[in-house]
Amino acid sequence: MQPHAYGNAAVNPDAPNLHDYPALTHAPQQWGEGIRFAHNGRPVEDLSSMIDDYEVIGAMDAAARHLGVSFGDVCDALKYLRGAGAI
Amino acid sequence: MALNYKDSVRNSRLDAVTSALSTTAYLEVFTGTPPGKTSGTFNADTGTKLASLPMSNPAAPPSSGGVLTFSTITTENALASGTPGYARMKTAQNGAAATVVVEMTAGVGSGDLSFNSTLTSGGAVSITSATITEGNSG
Repeated sequence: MQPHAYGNAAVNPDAPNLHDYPALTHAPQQWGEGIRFAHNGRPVEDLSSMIDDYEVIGAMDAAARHLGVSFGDVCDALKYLRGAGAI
Repeated sequence: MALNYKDSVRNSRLDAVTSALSTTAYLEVFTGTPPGKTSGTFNADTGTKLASLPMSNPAAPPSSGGVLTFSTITTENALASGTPGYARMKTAQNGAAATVVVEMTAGVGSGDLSFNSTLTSGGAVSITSATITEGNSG
């Protein structure tokens, strides 16, 4: 059996549009206010302290400058390399 | 080699889905990958629930030509903003795993349930068409 279904989602200009961030959600009814990880509702702000602890952002900024690419490009590359087991 | 059923058998298999959905079915849309089953039983919902849409009663008229075409699925506002990853047809709104009858992939421009864009909290979510086609037609 093969389902085929199509849906339309109207944009609510007053709500966060997370089109570019598929892993994130804004679900105040389910998880509470703020942008959160869609997988488990943890606030993305929780990442801030961890990032500070490990100086991750500085290292990624430096990598982006060194390679002549954007921060987002570095994120994509890290995701790929991690998924491929290269790092 | 695939089996080749006559259409009345194909229709009966599809109509069993409609019967299983019973009288108060809902289509619910979530983020993430489909939870699937363990030992033949659907696992609990995962991720974030983006939308919960009431289905008709019955959910569909009798199948024809090996195709089940669902009746109107009511438009509702999205519960949350996010990217659809899977959808489930359940016998009840917010139903537990035991109420799941059909699980399918969802996405933006992809998946069994394909949306035109990501969902935004409070934005209308509508289903423009929904069918299930039974294979085994030779």
